[in-house]
Amino acid sequence: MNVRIKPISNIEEECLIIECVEVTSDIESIRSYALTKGQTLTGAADERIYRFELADVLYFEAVDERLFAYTKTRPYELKLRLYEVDQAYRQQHFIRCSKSFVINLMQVDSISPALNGRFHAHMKNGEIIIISRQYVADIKRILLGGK
Amino acid sequence: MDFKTFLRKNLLLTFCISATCICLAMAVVGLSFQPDAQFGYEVFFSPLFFAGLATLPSLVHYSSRELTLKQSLIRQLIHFLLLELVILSILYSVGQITSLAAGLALAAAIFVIDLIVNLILWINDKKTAGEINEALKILQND
Repeated sequence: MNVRIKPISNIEEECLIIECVEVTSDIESIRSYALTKGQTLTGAADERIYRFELADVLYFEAVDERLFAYTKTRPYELKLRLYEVDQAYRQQHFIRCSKSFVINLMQVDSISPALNGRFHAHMKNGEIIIISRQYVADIKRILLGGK
Repeated sequence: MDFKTFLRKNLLLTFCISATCICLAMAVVGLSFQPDAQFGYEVFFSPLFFAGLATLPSLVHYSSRELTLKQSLIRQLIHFLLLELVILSILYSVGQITSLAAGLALAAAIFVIDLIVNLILWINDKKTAGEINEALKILQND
């Protein structure tokens, strides 16, 4: 595959264009990799495209086939899958906490036990996200370093 | 949560706590109603047998999808009613319940044991939450 890099001066206009005959799994991997690189994300809100900081994201939620990133100000729709953000942002302290949610541990105020072996994550903006029991062990392992 | 994980993580813990609590309840109820009764070695099997029976209704808590708070509360109530029904039926059929007072005392004992099991599980979860909160503070202050 030919790779061409064209220098530009405006960071807002940075983009990656993939020209291909067919969208194969390799192309999808390159797309996912490019979309999840860096500390900023691009998402849609009110029919406009915005750039926002990854650190400002409280959590990602998958609704049907769509993925939303929630910040303190507004939600943005992303062209990514939940498992992609789960894999890509582990180093930035994002972790899967249920089938539909990936939370930012840096934006969690506290955790409390809930009914039926589940936990509640109290986010810094006051929202409460459910942590499924099956993901608690993962969160403990990451935070306590395997203790 | 898949069924195998549910079996390992939830039912096994419930079984162990129930067996311990049933031993305690047998001692308290026995000392109150039949303090002079004597038993053979086979009596050691009964806490395990009843803990097994007490664990069976816990299957109602299993769900492959996430339950809402209301659904969890309803399942908790169904679990308690099933628990009373299963254990009291068995005890009645083997002739262990001879009077209304004994039946009510056993029903109350089952209620207390169920309450203690849930309390222990909740305390365990509270401890886990405390550990996570400590680690979160360290992570966020780094």
